[in-house]
Amino acid sequence: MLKKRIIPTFLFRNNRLVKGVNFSNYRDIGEPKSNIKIFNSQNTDEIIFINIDKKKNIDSLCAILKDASKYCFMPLTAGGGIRSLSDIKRLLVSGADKVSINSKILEDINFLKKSSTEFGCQCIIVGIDVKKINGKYRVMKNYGKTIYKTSLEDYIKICKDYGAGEFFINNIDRDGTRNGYNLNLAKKIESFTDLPIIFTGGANNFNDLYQLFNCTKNTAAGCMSLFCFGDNSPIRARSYLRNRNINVKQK
Amino acid sequence: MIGILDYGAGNIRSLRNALLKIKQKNFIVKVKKDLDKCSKLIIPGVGSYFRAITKLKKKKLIHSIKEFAKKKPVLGICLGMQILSKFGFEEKKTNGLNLIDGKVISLYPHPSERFSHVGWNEIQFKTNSKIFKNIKKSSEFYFLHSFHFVAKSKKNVSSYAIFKKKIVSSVEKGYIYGVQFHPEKSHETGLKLLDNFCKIKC
Repeated sequence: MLKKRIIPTFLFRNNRLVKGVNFSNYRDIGEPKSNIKIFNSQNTDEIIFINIDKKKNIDSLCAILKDASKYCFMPLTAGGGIRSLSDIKRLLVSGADKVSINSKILEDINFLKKSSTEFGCQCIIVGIDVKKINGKYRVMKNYGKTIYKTSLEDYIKICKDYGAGEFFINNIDRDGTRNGYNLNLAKKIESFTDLPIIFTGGANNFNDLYQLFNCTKNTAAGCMSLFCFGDNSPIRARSYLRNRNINVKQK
Repeated sequence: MIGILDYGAGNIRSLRNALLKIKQKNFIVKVKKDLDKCSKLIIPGVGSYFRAITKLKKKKLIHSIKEFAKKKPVLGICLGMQILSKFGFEEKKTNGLNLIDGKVISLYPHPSERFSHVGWNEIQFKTNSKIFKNIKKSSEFYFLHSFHFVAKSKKNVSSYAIFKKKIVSSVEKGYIYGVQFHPEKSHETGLKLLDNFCKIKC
C-alpha cells in the first residue's frame, strides 16, 4: 500500500532558507545544504524547495540544487520563477526530480500542457495559492495579492486536463500561523481531483498531521514550521502516526 | 566501471550522486563506443516511452545496448526499466528494446481517470534476486510513474507492489534487471540495491 507522505517545504531567499506567516514576515531558518543533510539523515519522505527571491533567479536555485543533491537521496521538488521549458530542464539537470510551477500556468495554461508532454505528467506539480475571500476559497496570484478569475474547482479540473501530475496547495490563511490545517479545504480539494495533493499551511504538531491524514485519501502533508521551530523530526512524526494506525513509511 | 546511459531523458545527476555515495566509479555513456569501457550499464529515464526510444534511435544506440545486454549486466530504472519491454503504449505504440518480453501500458483504464503512482510503497519479492540481497522483505521504495510493465512471463517478475492492484515493481532475465521505483531516491535501501547491482559478478 502507498504510504502517506510528510513533506517539508523549504522557502529559499538570498541563499538562505526562510519561513513566513501568511506569505510575509519571513524569518531566517538556516542554510540550505545543512538542512537537506539533516532531513536526508531522518529518512524524510520527500522535500520541496521553492525559490521566493524577488528576482526569481533560476541560476541561484540551480547552484544550490547541484550542491545539495549530493546529500539528497530522497525525492526533491524545485520551483519558484519557472518561466520556460529550458528552466525546467535546468532544474532537473541540477538534481530536481519534479518541478512545481505556479504563476506561469496562471498566465498561460498551455505551458502546463507543453511541460507535461515534454517531461511527463508525473514530473509536473501545479502550485496553487488559496485564500478564503468573501466566504469562498479562491485561487490567488502575485504572492496572494490578486484574485484569479477562475474558481478553485474549475482551475484544478482544467489543470488535470492539461497534464498536471500533482497539486501543491498552499493555504495562505493558515501559512505559518500554526493553527492546524484547514481540514474542510483539504477535503474539498480532494473532492475535485483524484491526483495526488500536497496540502500545506498551518501544521503545528503531529496531531495536525494525524487529523489531515485521517480525513483524506491522496493528500500528503506539507509542513515547515512544525520541523524548523521545535525539536520535532520526521522520524518522530512517523512513529507518532504509526502508533495511530496511519500508514506511513516504516524506516 | 559503471556506465550511466545519457540519452537526454533522465535525471543523471541523482544517479551519479548515488554511485558516488556508494563509492562506485562511473561515467556517462553518450555514444556507442563508450559502452566498450563499461562493465555494467544503468539506464535511467523519466518522460515518455515513445520519446525515450526516439532519442535512443537518433543516437543509434538501440542495437549496441542489445548487444551489450547479451554479455554484461544492465539495470533499467523507471522509464529505463519500461523500455526493456517489447513495446509500450505511451503516446503511441512503440517498439522497445525487447530484452524482457512484455508491454508497458497505462495504470488507468480510461483517460478520464488519470492518476499516477507517486510516493513510497513496499514491495514483495517473488524471487531471490541478486539485486535484493540483504534487503529486508516489504522494504519501501519511491515510485513515480503512470505507466507500468506487464510481463509476458511471471518468471521475469522479481517483485511486485500493490497500488489499486498488483503491479510489477521489478523485472529480471539473466543479467538484465529493471526496477520501476527509484533506488537513487530511496534512501539507504535504494543505495543498497544499487550497491548490489554494482557488485554482481558474471
